[in-house]
Amino acid sequence: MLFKNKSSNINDVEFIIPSVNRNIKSPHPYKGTLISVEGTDGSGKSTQLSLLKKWLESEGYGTVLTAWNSSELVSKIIKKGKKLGILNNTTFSILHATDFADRLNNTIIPALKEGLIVLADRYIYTALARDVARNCNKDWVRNLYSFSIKPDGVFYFKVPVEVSLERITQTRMPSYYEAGMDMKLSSDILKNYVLFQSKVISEYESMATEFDFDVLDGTHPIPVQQKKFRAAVNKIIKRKNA
Amino acid sequence: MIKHPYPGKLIVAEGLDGSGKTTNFNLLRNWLEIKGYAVLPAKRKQSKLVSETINIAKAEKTLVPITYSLIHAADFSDLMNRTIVPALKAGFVVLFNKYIYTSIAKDYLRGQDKDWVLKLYEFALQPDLVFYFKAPLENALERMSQEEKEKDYYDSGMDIGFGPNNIQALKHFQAKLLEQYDLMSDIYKFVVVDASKPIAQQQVKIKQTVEDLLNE
Repeated sequence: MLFKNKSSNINDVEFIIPSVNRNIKSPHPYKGTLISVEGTDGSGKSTQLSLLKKWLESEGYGTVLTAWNSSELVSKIIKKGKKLGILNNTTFSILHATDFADRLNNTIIPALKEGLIVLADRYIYTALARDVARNCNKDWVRNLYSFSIKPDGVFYFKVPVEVSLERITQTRMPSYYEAGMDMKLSSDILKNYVLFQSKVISEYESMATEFDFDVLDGTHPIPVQQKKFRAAVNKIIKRKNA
Repeated sequence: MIKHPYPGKLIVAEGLDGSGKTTNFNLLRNWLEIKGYAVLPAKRKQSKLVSETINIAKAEKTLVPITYSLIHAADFSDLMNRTIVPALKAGFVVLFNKYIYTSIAKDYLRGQDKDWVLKLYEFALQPDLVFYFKAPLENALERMSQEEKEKDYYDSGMDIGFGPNNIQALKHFQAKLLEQYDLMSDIYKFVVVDASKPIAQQQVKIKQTVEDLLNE
């Protein structure tokens, strides 16, 4: 039985099934390597990750790329919900967690068990930054994602919000949720983008030390960033295989 | 859970399948509508956005305990946000058949950490009343066996190793679920309805309790 009989206090609730081992702050037990990139839209993280993938493969490593919101289970309904603008902050948050859980079980952990290098374009820190910027309770979001495993390396591509906006608007307008229009900070989408993404950036920065982010300057020339990125990843792989 | 500030009322039925929840809630609805109250019946897996995906995933058996838990929470969140809250704001009496207590119990039985799942559902609104239809396991199982639709792989806990066949699994899983309901009944102050009594007798108690709530 789960609950202690006659208890009226939630803190007295007794649990009988051993809790699943969850720890987002200690290393995972698998032989593969998990590298993730984080940063705002337009920070260059996807570009950097695909160059890293090229290089790793040319070095003979097997890689698996997994992108945020790409699960077979729920990515379609997330896209639909976003398009219709019907997701509140809680639904938005739980759906993304479902997407992540599905990929963790079906893609990330199986690949790590095989000894592959998993390249995650956005990881749970995206949710921790974005959902909190969207006024979800910080402890609640952290609890939500506590089933996760810790990456071997988290690379944060840091750019000022103006750079992020400028890069995006060269090809398109920001989308409704990207701009945080659901937060109704401004009626102007570009202004709202700056206000919302500034909150996201400040959440990222507050996590950098706590979660050991490797910070890369996303305003530097692409090859310069890539060189540093490769060197750091190389070190992680060497350490892992030592 | 959050205490809601809305003029409507949120009334919940919990208990095993086959314990008479649906029958009693249908009668309650009828009675309320005759009295002039607008009623919205609700149940889990009913959100416009997520429910269809859950049904497909259950049929294909692609859910593991963590995704089972999360996708049901997402469904509930969408239902809450776009259906339940607007109805409560508009002053409806929402009759919710199996609320988060069922979700929490099932997630526990699937091995989720108690603190994790309790925190997950913190965003849910606290019901104004929870009826617990308490029936002996045998009676509920008997009625479940008379249903046309057989309980699926997940309802019988086959996905987490209850077995060896669907009937045995269902029996074991529902017995565990019953334990959870009994224990939660004390913690969350459910109003217990003896589901082995005649329906008319159950209705007397239910209507009296609801009447008191509406007259508060």
